[in-house]
Amino acid sequence: MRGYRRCAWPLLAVAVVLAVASVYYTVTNLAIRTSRNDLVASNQRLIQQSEKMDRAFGGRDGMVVVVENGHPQRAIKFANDLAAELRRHPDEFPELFYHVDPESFKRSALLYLEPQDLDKIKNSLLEQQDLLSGLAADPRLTTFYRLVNDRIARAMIGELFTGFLADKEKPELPDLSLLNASLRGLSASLEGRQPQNPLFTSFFPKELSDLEGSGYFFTENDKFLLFLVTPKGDGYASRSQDLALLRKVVDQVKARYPGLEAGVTGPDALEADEMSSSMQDVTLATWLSLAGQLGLLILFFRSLRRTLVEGLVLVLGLCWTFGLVTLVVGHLNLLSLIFAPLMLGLTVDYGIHWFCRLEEEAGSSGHCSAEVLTCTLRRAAPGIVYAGVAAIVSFVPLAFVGFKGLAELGLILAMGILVMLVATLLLVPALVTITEKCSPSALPEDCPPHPTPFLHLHWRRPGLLVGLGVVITALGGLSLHYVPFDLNPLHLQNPTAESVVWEYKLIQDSKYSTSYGALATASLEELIARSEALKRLPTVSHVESVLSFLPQQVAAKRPILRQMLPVLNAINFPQAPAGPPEPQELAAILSRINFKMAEAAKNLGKDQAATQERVEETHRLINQIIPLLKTGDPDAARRLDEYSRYFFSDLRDTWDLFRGYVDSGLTASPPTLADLPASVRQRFISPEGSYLIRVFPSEDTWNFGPLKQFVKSLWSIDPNAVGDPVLLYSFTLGFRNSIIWAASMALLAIIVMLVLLFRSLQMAMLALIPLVVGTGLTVNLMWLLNLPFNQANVLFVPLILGEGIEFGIIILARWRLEESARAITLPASTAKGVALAALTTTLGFGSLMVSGHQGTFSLGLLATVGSLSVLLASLSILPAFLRLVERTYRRQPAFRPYLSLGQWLHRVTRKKDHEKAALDRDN
Amino acid sequence: MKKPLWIGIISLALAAFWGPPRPALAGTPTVYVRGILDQVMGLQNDPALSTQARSQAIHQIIERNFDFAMMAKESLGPTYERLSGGQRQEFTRTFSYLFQDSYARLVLNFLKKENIQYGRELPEGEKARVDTAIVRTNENIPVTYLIHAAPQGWILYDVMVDGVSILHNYKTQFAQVIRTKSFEFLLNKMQEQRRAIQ
Repeated sequence: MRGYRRCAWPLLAVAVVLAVASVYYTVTNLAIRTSRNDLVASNQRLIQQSEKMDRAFGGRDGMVVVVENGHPQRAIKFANDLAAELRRHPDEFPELFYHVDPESFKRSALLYLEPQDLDKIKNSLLEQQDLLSGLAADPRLTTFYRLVNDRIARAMIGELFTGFLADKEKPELPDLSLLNASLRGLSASLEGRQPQNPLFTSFFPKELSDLEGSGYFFTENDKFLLFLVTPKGDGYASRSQDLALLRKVVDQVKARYPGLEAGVTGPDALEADEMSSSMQDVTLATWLSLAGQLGLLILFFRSLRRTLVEGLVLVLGLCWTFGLVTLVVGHLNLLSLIFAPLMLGLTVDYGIHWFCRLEEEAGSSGHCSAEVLTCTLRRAAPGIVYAGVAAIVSFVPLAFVGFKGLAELGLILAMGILVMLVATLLLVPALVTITEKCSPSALPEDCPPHPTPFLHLHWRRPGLLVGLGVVITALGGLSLHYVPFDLNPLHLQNPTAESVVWEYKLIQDSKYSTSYGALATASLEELIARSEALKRLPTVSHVESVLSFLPQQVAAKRPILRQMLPVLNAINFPQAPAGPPEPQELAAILSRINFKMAEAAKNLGKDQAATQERVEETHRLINQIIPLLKTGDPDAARRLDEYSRYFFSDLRDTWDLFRGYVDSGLTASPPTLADLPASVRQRFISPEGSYLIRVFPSEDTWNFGPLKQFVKSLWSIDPNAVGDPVLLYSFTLGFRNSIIWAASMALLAIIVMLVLLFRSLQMAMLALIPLVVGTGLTVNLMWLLNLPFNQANVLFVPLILGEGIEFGIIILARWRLEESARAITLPASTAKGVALAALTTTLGFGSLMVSGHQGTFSLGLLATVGSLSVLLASLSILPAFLRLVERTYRRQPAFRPYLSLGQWLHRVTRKKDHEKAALDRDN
Repeated sequence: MKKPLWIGIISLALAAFWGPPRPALAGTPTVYVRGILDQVMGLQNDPALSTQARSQAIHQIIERNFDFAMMAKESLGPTYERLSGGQRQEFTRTFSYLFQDSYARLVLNFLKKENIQYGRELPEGEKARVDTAIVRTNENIPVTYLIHAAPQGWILYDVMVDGVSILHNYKTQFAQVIRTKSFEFLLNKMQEQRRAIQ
């Protein structure tokens, strides 16, 4: 006893000094790595290729400001103001890419269109030739609507009576975009507002309007304006600072535009948001875990002193672990960040089992003596050490997987459990000696156990519980088919994080994604060939390269332009209309259009939603306009006249502009690489002269199915293709395979360990019961709770192994070692230790449910469900099994574990205490 | 318009034998057209009729009141003259079937509980035009009925919906198909369509 006392203080001092040194070393040296690239093995060809691509093309545009386009001019003004503000922070945002000056491209505007689009314009022009020449001959607003009405009426009668002669299966209505644009303008004018959009731009394809218009980056459906920002910061800390500054500036500029919606997303923003959210949540979860566990300990131990001892041991062990992690690994990654709550949840168990045994050894007096302490150490240590070793064994395979993030987590957890095991076995007895002032006493040769049964249960009908265990396990196997593996990493993120919200908006409302595949080609010829091949892939929505800024197939396009010239030259519009329109006459024409639109709307199929939408808009606008025309109000007539002038002015401007495009398209030499602005060249041409192709997916590649197809199709064109989707695919696949491999290896290693330990396959199988039945119950509950496996919570698969095995070993070790325990099947102190261990583990994992990060939350939920399931199986099904096999083992000789740790401890403690006792007597 | 008395008597007798009295015998072109439209509106607003029964009844009205022989001939223009008797017969039969189907759909869709306004009546010799308009709130559509005198009375040979002649549409489309393909191709297409409807 004096030996304990003499060693206790120096041991504690060394432990504290080591902890302080570990904290200092950690704070000054531990790095946080947030890149997903850091999670996959660094020697992979893919990572090298990605880094090569980043070096060549600068890894730009990591953050994207998305502006919801309520009105294009307002969105453009916002973008300009934002650029002006961001230019005040050149150190944080060295590059802004939001605008390409369209002037140098305008002269070849039509040559940028695809031949089929150009053909469509030509056909539309020829089809509308009658309408246009009719309008030129009689330039009045009423003439325009009359001609439009005639077209609609002819189309309607044609479709109804001779539609079967047309080649198309479902003849479409005439294009209503021009009609609707004019009606929108007319409605606005009659209500005293300015018409907002140029009318006749809707006559031409969007690509042409883009070149003719702003040069800003709108998504294909015009719903969003994109503003690309390259932050200077590298690494989580500086990047999250850049992100916070960018958001602050966006908010400041937004305040000048009431009602305008804008937010920041992009790969860098998503990564920084995920990290910030995880860090905050995990810090909170760690403290909650500590506090909750201490509360539970106080409740179970009914002793603040013992609880504080256990708490101190946990804190010191955690500090040592951080120091060791810093020394061995040097950093934490996105996955290993969560190691602290997981490790605490597991390793607090060792102290619990020790204290529960101490309580039993102390008996009803509760008094601490050298005898009690020695017996506790002898009896409790084997189970604790075996459980600790089993936990380490369950994590060691993880340390050998090819997936770097998981390998580091496995290594950290294995080291951490070892450190905590050592801390428990060294510090808990020492601290108890100090704090409880254990009295010296005679040391017995043996420690006669005197257990009481758990809840005074007699386990009279164990068969029932065994049957229940079998049913639960079988149902678990069935439920496993209904619990999916959700591989979408966006589902793991905090859904309220700004970057996630805007990424979803982009995907859902525009089919645009901030992530794209990246290919490099050595020559312009190769670039052209690969771009064409990529465009043909069904998995690809569009590709971007320098070619996107240069007109292609000029020789094929010019004949199409030539076919338009006669029509363009034959028709000339005056600047002003021939006369003011008559409101009543216009109302009559519009009501005729309205009748046909109402009938057309009734007969459109479900597959014609877009046409339906346009028809409904026509109907709605005319219903707004007709009452305004019929008022007889002179103001209405004046406004109608103003609108008519605006209409013809816009028509003439657009017509002349278009004729100019056709002329210049036929005569001017098209732009070349040398004409491209520097911002474009830097992004798409490397200093060594290679060319970048950005490939955008046609489907949501955050989902694994489309992601796999997209990446496979990219690799079919270029096996060296990289980019975010490729990295994500490799990440997801590597992660899943690593987890499956590690779990299988861990199970195998544990079975081998158990067989070696108990030297009996049957005993090894019995030890696995809490794990097997607990897992079955967990899967059943997952199915009921609609909780899928995902990349975060699947981490619990190796964890549940460790915990299930720990409980099995603790119960079984005592059952085999002590005959008195076998007689009552499950001693109360063992059950209390297991229950408390499970509840603290549940709290340790469950604390992760405070996280807004969905992955961490689901891990917490699954871990909680799993821990409680394993507990239930440990305290009900396993004892029932033990009861069934008890008779067989009663006749066998006393069990001596292969490692004989208990015997060794017995000899050591007895010899030392004898020596010390002799010394004490001599003194 | 004066007609020989015996024609009227025979027509009346036939009408009494074959079906309900024809509106043609009631008098002016407008009265004739109104009679047809009233019958159609009566059918459309009869809640006791099933969709199929209503459609059948409207088909019968169309069948009785259009001059298909003349319409088929007019729709083909000069090509008609070059056809054999058998071809003419087959074309007229097919044309008649397709027209009835299309017009029935037009009627079923357009005419519900409508307010029909009757406008000018323009007699042109043996022919006449009756202007009407279907009027709803903020919606209207002019429909002009073209009729001519037949031995049994007035009979329709064309309808212009918002200024677009159905017969003219046939003429234009058929001429285009015959020009680019052939009459046989046209007839084949029409027969295909007929089979598809049946």
